[in-house]
Amino acid sequence: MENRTLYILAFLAVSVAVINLSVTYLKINDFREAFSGFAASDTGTINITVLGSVNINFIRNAIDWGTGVVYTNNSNPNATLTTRGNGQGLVVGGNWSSSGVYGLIIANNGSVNVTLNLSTDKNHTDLFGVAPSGLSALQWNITDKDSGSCAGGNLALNTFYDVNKTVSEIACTQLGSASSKNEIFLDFYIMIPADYDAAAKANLNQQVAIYANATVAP
Amino acid sequence: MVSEKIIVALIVVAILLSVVSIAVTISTVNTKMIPRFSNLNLPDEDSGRVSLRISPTPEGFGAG
Repeated sequence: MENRTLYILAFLAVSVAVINLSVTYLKINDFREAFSGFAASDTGTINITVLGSVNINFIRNAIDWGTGVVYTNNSNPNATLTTRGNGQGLVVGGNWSSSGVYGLIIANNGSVNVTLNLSTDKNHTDLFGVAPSGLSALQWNITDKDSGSCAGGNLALNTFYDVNKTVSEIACTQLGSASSKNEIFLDFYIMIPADYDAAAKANLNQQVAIYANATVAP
Repeated sequence: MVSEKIIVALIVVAILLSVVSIAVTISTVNTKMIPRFSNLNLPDEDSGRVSLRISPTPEGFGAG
């Protein structure tokens, strides 16, 4: 009889333990969504981790060459328009005004280093049509505004590369976030051929959109 | 009658389950009640533009 009582008590203990285990797990899972963060007493400790933020900006976001013509009295008639960072733009073979024309500036205003991708919506053929002379180009060039801002990437610094609208180029694998090295120039070299598709492109306001996309650097 | 071995075994099982219950409570509280932020470093994007306009050029026109 004594053994039977013990058996019943042991069986109850196991049952209660199983129920306890199940209820504990299920109820704590229910708590997960409703957890308020309030301390149960009037004092408490909160551990806070401040996460990084990504914030990329064109702090100079427009290059506007205005209106001009290509000089056609040269042996290879074309005009070239070049921006040079904070230096005034350069016009050769045409009469566009370079007054107030400077390179774009991209800044990493976030708190973490980022990987910067650049893309556009146009190639040079979108701007000028297909020129038989081949004297047509749309190129870009990255330079550090702050020394040491940009590292890595597919575009070497201080070098002009053809813009390809179908490719998002990794401009900088690491664009710094420190205020002393978080800015780059994005300059453009535009070669306008005299034999551009005048029927389609003359007297037309042409605009190339430049997109900068930043993600947390690896 | 029920043997004493079975009773002892059941009590041992009950104790083990209670220990497991405590362990589950502690680990669940630690892992699920403290909110875990997912990576909030979302990508950011901005845009700029380059614009120009070409006027038709008279043949042979140049800076001279």
